[in-house]
Amino acid sequence: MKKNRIGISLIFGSFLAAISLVGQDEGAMQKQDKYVKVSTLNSIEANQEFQRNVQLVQAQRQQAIQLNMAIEQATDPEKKAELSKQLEALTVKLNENNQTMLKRYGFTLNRNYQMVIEKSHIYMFVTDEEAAAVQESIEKAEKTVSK
Amino acid sequence: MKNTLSIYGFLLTALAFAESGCSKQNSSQAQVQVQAPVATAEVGAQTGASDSIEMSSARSEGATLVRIATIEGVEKNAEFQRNLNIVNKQKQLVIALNRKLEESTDPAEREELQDALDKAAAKLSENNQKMIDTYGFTLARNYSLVIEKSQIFMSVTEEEAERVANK
Repeated sequence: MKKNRIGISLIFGSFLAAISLVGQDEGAMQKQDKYVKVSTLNSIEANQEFQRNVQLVQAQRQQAIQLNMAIEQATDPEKKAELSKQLEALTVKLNENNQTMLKRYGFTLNRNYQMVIEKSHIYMFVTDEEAAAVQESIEKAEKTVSK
Repeated sequence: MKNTLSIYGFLLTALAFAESGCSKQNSSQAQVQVQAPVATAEVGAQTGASDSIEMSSARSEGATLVRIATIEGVEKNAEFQRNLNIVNKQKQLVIALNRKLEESTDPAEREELQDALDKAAAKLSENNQKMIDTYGFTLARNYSLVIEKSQIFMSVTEEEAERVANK
């Protein structure tokens, strides 16, 4: 039960965990702010997994906030009990995931973070026809090189 | 007027972070990449955590993506983000001015708004062209940013920063 209470305070704590990109807005990584590097993600897969995991814990926290609101608004005792049970289970899961995030990336929901990108690729959404045309030009170029 | 018209033809541009589906890239600059659907996302997926909430993908299945640029270096990536913000803000300004112009009935105000709109549209076209030349990026298309290398920094207090520095 103690663990759950810690979870509740984590969910409704005064800090809003946020992760933003450097360069994304004027205030990002301001010089007067202090930052400590907690993690380096060295591959596309690692970065995608991190983004998915951050979204997951943020979604879980959001769901917990909504459940808490629903409990406060519920007047039917049975419904209240059912929602409380759901919140308890979700809080346990959120604590577990937050702990995993902490171990894996040094990331916790009650702190703010900045992501500094060192290498990225820009992909453009194309139609099938455009994709075929690009593929064709690549193949043509490769043939020219191999000749 | 030409600029204004070209702006109206723009689609809403979204630069999203790719969640999955892009396999490791080879050195080819323009590579056709098929985006696979995202499956269940769970923290600790590789460490056996269970009953995590499932996340649905914001991506359309089977979308085809072509790599148009690779940005290397912290400064270059930050510059790209800044430039992207600039053109997105300029696009919003053009849309807002156009809306005001449509709503305005006062001839003097309309003239003033048209002048502002023409200038904003010209600037946006200029910057959009620079984005095309530099990154192959145009406001008329949708893109996905795939991060290959990044660093995560945590915001700390003065005391915490000192403690880390003294370690």
